Amino acid sequence: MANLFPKWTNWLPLKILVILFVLGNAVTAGVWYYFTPKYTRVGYEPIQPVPFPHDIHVSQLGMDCRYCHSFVEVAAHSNVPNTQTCMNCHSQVQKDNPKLQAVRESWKSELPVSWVQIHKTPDYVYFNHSAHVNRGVSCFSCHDQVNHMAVVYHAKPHSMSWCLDCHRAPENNLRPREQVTNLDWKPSDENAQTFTAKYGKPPGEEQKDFSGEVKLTQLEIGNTLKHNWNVQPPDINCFACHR
Amino acid sequence: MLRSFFLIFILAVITVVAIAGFRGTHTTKPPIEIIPDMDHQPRFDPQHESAFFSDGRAARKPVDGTVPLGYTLPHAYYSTEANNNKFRQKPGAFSMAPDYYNSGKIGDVYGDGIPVEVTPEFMARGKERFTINCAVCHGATGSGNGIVTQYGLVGVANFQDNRLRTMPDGQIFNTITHGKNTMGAYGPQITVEDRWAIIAYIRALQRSQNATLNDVPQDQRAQLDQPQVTK
Ligand code: HEC
Ligand code: HEC
Ligand code: HEC
Ligand code: HEC
Ligand code: HEC
Ligand code: HEC
Repeated sequence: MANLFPKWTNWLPLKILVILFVLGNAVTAGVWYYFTPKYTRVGYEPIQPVPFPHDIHVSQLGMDCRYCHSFVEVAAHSNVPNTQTCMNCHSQVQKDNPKLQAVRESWKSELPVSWVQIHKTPDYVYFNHSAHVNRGVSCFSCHDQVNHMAVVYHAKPHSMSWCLDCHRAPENNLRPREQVTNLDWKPSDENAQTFTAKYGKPPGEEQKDFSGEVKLTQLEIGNTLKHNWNVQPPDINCFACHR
Repeated sequence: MLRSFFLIFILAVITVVAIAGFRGTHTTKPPIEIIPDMDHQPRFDPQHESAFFSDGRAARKPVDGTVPLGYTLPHAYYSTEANNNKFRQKPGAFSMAPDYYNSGKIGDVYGDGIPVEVTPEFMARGKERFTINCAVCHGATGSGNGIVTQYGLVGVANFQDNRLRTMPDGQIFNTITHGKNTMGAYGPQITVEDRWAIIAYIRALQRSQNATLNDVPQDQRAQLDQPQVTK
C-alpha cells in the first residue's frame, strides 16, 4: 500500500500550530502597539500657516498663556488668539519677518489666520477647559511643556483611559491655582509654610511640622488641594463626558 | 518550511515597522482614525470654518443693531430702576453700554473714580490681570519698560508720568477698551470688571513708586529706620 502521508507530514500539525501561535502574537502585538491614540495622535505636528514659537513668546518673553488663550479659564473651549492679538506687538516688532506674512495678510484682509487644530476630542465627548484649569489642573498635565516647544505637537494620547487615569487619581496633577499657567512649576518650588497656612496640612500628616526647610511632594500638595476643594472628577459616570 | 516562514515573518515585521514607525514620532500627517464613528458630527465647534459662508467663518458677525447680552438699551438707563443704582446696571461681562461703569464716560467727559468696591481680592485680581495683559509692554512697575521694548516696540506709555498719574480713571478705561494710537484694544479680551481692577492696581503702582512718609501707617514708620533683613 502506498504511503498516503509522507513522513514529513508527522510534524505538520505542530508546525502549523507554531506558525499560528507566532502570527497570532504578532497581530496582537501590532494591534496593541499601533491601534491606540498613543501611536495615532502623539507626535502630530501639522504645518501651520505661521510657525508660531511658544518657546520664544512664553519662556523668552515671559508671556502668560492667558494673554493669548484669553478665555481658557471661563470657557469650555480654549480659544486660539485673533490676529489683533499678534498685531499688538508685531505691528512694530519683527515687522518684515517673512514668517509673519500670513498674520499681516490676515490683518489686511480681515480674514482669520487658518491655524490647524492639533488637539481634537471626538465630537461625542464633552470636554471643558475651565472645569479643569480652575481646579488646579495645569496645561502641563494635558499638553506637556508647550512653553519649550518651537512648534506645538500632540504630546499626550488624550484617550478615554488617559482621561480616566487622572480622574481616578487627580492628586498626582493638582497644584495651586496661581501656578496653573506656570508650566515649569515643581512641587518643591512651593513654600511649605505659606502653602500649609493657606490650604491646611496634608490629610493624614496633621502632626508633621512644616515650618522648617521642608519640601512638599506632589502627593502632599495634591491630597491637600483635593481635600480642600473637594475635588471629585467623574470616573464611573459615563454621562459626565458622553452627554 | 519553518525556516522560510520565519524568514518571511521577520521581513514582514521589518517592513511594517519601517512603514508605520514607532509611537511618538513627530509627523505632519493628521492622526489616523481607526474607527471614526461620530467623531465628526455635522455641527460647528467654536472657531471652526464653514464652506457655506463666503468669508469661511462658521461664527457669524452679529448684524448691525444687535443688542449684546448684558446690554441695557440706552433709554432704559435713565429709567428709575437704573438710577437707584448709580453706576452699575446689571453688568454684562463685555457690555458697551454708555453708562460710566461700562464706558468710563459720564456724558461726553471722562469720569474719575472706581465704580466698584475696592477690596484686597479686587486688587489681587487687578494685579493678576495686569501681569497677564499689560506687564509685557508696560513693565511690572508700569514704567513703560516691559520686555517687548527690548525687541523694538517703541513709545510705550510710562504710568509713572505725571500725565498718566493725573489722567482720569475713565480715560484709562477707554484706552483699555478701545486702544490708543499704537496700543491695541483689549476690550474684546478683558471683562469690564477686570478693566476696573487693572485700573485700581495701576493707581496702586503709581503710589508705590511715589510714596512719601505720610503714606506709611503711623505704627509701621518705626520699622523703616530699622536695617532691612534680607533673606
Ligand atoms: C503670543 C500668543 C500665545 C501665547 C502666550 C500662548 N499661546 Fe498657545 N497658541 C497660540 C497660537 C497662535 C496657537 C495656534 C498655532 C499653533 O498651534 O502653533 C497656539 C496653540 C496652542 C496649542 C495647540 C492648540 C491646538 O490646535 O490643539 C496649545 C495646547 C497651546 N497653544 C497651549 C499654550 C500654553 C499652555 C501656553 C502658556 C504656557 C500658551 N499656549 C501660550 C498663541 C499663544
Ligand atoms: C507681547 C508681544 C508679542 C505678541 C503679542 C506676539 N509676539 Fe511674536 N514675537 C514677539 C517678539 C518680541 C519676537 C522676537 C523674539 C526675538 O527676536 O527673539 C517675536 C517673534 C515672533 C516670530 C518670529 C520667530 C522667529 O524665529 O523668527 C513669529 C513667527 C511670531 N512672533 C509670531 C507671533 C504670532 C503668530 C503672534 C500672535 C498669536 C505673536 N507672535 C504675538 C512678541 C510678540
Ligand atoms: C484636562 C486636560 C487639559 C488641560 C488642563 C488643558 N487642556 Fe487644552 N485641551 C485639552 C483637550 C482635551 C483639547 C481638545 C479640545 C477639543 O477638541 O475641543 C484641548 C485643546 C486646547 C486648545 C485648542 C483648541 C482648539 O479648538 O483649537 C488650546 C489652545 C488649548 N487646549 C490650550 C490650553 C491651555 C492654554 C491650557 C492651560 C491654561 C490648557 N489647554 C489646559 C485638554 C486640556
Ligand atoms: C490631569 C488630570 C485630568 C485629566 C487628564 C482630565 N481630567 Fe477631567 N477633571 C479633572 C479634575 C481635577 C476635575 C474637577 C473635578 C471637580 O471639580 O471636582 C475634572 C472634571 C471633569 C469633568 C466634570 C466637569 C464639570 O463640569 O463638572 C468632565 C466632564 C471632565 N473632567 C472630562 C474630561 C475629559 C473628557 C478628559 C480627557 C480628554 C479629562 N477630563 C481629562 C482632572 C483631569
Ligand atoms: C472622563 C471622561 C469620560 C468618561 C467618564 C467616560 N468616557 Fe468614554 N470616552 C471619553 C473620551 C475622551 C473618548 C474618546 C477617546 C478617543 O478619541 O481616543 C471616549 C470614547 C468612548 C468610546 C469609544 C468610541 C469609539 O468608537 O472609539 C466608548 C464606547 C465610550 N467612550 C464609552 C464609555 C462608557 C460606557 C463610559 C462609562 C463607563 C464612558 N465612556 C465614560 C471620555 C470619557
Ligand atoms: C503690546 C504692548 C502693550 C500692551 C500689552 C499694553 N499696552 Fe498700553 N500702551 C502701549 C503703547 C505702545 C502705548 C502708547 C500709545 C500712544 O502712542 O499713545 C500705550 C499707552 C497706554 C496708556 C496711555 C494712553 C494715553 O492716553 O496716552 C494707557 C493708560 C495704557 N497704555 C494702559 C494699558 C493697560 C491698562 C494695559 C493692559 C490691559 C496695556 N496698556 C497693555 C502698548 C501696550
